[in-house]
Amino acid sequence: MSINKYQKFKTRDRITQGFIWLFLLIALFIFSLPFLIMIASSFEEFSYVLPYPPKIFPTSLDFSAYQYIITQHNFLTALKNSVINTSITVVIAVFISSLSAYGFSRIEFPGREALFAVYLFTLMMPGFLNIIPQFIVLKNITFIPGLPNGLIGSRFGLILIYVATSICGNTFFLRGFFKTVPKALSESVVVDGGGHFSIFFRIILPLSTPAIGTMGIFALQGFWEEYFTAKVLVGANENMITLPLLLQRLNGEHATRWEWVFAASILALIPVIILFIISQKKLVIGGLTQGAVKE
Amino acid sequence: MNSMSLRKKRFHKGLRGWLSALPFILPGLILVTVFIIYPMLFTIRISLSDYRIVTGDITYIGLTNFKNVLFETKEFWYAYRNNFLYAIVTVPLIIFGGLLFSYLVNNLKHGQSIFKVGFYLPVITSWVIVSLVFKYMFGNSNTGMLNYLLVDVFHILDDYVPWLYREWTGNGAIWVMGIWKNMGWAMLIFLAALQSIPKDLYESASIDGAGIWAKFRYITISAVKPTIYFVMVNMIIGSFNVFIQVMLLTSGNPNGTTSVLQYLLYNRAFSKFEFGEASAIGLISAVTIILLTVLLNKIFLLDEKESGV
Amino acid sequence: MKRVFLVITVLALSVFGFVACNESTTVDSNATTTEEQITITFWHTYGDSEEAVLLDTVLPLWNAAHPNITVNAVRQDGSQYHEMIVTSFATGNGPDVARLDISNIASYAEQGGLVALDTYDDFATLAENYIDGPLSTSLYKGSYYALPLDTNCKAAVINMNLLESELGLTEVPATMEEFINAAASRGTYSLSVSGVGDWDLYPYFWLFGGSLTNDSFTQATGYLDSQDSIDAINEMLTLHSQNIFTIRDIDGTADAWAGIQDTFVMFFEGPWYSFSEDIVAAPIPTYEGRSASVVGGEDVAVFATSQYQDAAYEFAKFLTSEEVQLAMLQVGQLPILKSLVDNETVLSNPTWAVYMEQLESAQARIPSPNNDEIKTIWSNAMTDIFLNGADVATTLSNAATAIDAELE
Repeated sequence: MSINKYQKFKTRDRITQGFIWLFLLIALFIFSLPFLIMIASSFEEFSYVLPYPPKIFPTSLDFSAYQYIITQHNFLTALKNSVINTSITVVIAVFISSLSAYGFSRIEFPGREALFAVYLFTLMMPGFLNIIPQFIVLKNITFIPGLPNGLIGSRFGLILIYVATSICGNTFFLRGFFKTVPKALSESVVVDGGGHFSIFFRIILPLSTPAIGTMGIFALQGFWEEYFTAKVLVGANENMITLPLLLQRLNGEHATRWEWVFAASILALIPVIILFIISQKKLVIGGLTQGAVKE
Repeated sequence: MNSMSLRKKRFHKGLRGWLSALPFILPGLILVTVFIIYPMLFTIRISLSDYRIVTGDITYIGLTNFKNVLFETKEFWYAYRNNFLYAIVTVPLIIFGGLLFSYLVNNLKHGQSIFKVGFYLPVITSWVIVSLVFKYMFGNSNTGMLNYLLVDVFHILDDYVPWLYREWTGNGAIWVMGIWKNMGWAMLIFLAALQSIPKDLYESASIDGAGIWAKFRYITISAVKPTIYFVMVNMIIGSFNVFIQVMLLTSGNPNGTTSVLQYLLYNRAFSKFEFGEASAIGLISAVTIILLTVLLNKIFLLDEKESGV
Repeated sequence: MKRVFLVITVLALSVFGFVACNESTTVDSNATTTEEQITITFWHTYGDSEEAVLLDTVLPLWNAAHPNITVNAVRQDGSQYHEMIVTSFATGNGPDVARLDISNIASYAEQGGLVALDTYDDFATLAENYIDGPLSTSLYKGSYYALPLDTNCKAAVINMNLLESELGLTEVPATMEEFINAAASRGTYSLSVSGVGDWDLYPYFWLFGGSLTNDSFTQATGYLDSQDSIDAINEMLTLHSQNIFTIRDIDGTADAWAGIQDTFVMFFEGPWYSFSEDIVAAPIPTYEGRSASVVGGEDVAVFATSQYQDAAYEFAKFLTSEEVQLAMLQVGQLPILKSLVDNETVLSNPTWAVYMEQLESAQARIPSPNNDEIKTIWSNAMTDIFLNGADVATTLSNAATAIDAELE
């Protein structure tokens, strides 16, 4: 390639890059409008009615709404509970789902497809109505030491339900990824005399960390904002309050202080954003099997 | 004799398969059976019954619930129609937008993360919050952002539009929100797929003089086809689970013309104590999704390996 | 790798164990019941200020009088309260006693979720203390399933500045005719209502002479579809077309709470509106000499799933005592006791006085276990009339037939 041609190629490339940037920036601005409105409104004080004219950019920096939220007596409890519930749930859900996905993708057993079809079917049934039977089951699980009255109102019960509801979807998601890992790779382990557990831990898991991480993030945000199950299962126990439950309380009986709601929403959003920013670089970089293929 | 031993052999092989699979699938299987499958069987039973919630009495009444849901009022059909419209309108746009943005982001040399995070923000924001903001944007009169912009700032319209209180503008708002909320997710998934395409494929295409569009069409699209299917199935399931934005934006108004199945189900169960009819709606919705998924699988002609389904 | 996994598993399990152990102390306080000491759970949806009075004033009073019954007051959020109650019916994990919206009592009673309180010996004497309207809200099939707890109704909320500058009136008009005359030439909406639901439109419907059912709430045909009712709706349609009266959800006009600041002169709202010097409460102006409003409020009911129904009933009675009623009045919960109607505290507050006066002409919504269906029938009919321009007489006649079916 001559230098001249290379230069031309580079300039054209720069212009293209510029256009992509510009296009994406405009798109991002439009996408961010609802957030801008939220942030701008959280700095206002507009007892019960939204501000007129509508604001996209804050006109003042009044943090009193944030202060109100943070000084709520149960804010820290709610934050703590949300963090604990979500993190434990995600770790356990992801681990159990990875195991299941391995079983469904790499091990032949009779009825595998049928069982997997049942898993898929459950994904398509609306989950609302499950709450009543789930509740009754939890109430009757009385054999766990330390919890003689069943699992209602306990963190353990809530996490159990969260984990259970996420298994089918996660298994579906991960099974697809596990299938893309070339069989040849696992055969090397088998030749070495390793069993399924070796393949799982030495090949599949390391190769699938991006996928598993991605799924973890997907799962996390769902639990983080979950309201209804938490409300039904632990709502009566003030020590177990979570952020979404606290947020709902800001809706008054007859009218809503919007700046409180928006400030609380932004506060609840921050940890998730931070986590996503930290993890996004590692999430899906380089693809899943690419590295393996090159070896 | 021979077939007997063959059967025995097969049985043993099956048993061995189960034994080696069990450590992997058992933890999930127990949880799913107890907390998902059992409740669903309960739901199916309730759909055929008259269920009194306080006493827990369940009286079998055949298909009455289904009959009531399907033929008593127009509500169901509006909701059913709206779920399909939601899927037809939002799914292609989500896929198209997700592909476009992921492709552009993937081609960026610098600043990929900014856009990745930026477009993903709607996904990690809770539906409730997002609905509140959208309610404000599509609000009545000049307190709504859209009305304010269209009438007071740009003078495009003469009169304020009651967006959320009319059949089509209300549905439109629900669609816009669905697209906005889900596009980032599709983008992230597509980005994963794009990044697994070997870089040398693009490089050699560039040297051959292929432009950005040609590369997109011949390399990208063919490589992400299974991913498109994956996203599509997920989004279609999602289309039949639309709920919170309907409840918070329009509540099905006017007269149920912006309702959807999940909202109808919730309303039947918790406002009208009709758990039987609610369960029937749930089942109809599930069967519909399954039929759609199978149909799409046929259309896409993906073989089992590719689709991951 | 295997070791990492082992570590993670152990960690996860120990966290689990830790959490589980931690929980055991907080789970169920009923379990520690001895013969004397019991705990009952009370659900409510009070806001911040009401909750403060409940916790700081009311409960200490209770504890002093009933040291052996601890009340665990659980604040629920209003938006999902009904769903929580319904779910608790099914799971049996509800409260012992709860503050409930009056319009839901009949349907909860029909489901078998509430205890009939008139089986208690002292109920008859107790009932005589309550104002009739609020008491009647707990009546279902001849039994009382709750005690009235607080009451409210809609009164007129008027922007005095706009009343003068826009309508040229210096005083709150006593009659609707006067208001309409003054507003007719303004050219923009002066009177606003949020939607077409029962709580929104019933006051107007009644004010202009309409009626829903007979007095015993058993029949809608002959009432909802009567000429008077048709005329009432037509009057509203006329006002609507004259740009005097706007329905937010039909016209897309501003929210009343926002619009009253700069556009609307009047709307009807409960005592929870944040009144100011310029925006005041007034009795709803009469039309053809008739006044009207709609009754709202809450009852307190004992749950059928409660283990301690007697204690719960005792607590419910306590909440309706003069002491507690006066304490809650401080945060705007209007009392339901006859003895407090002329109480000085009530009358000395101009806003409360207006609401107490308005209550006299306020009517209850149809008490029926099917109130949700009836609500839907009504609002669908009103949407058809106001939005889709449906024929008034036909629509009302169909609605009346449909409501009859729900009242059977």
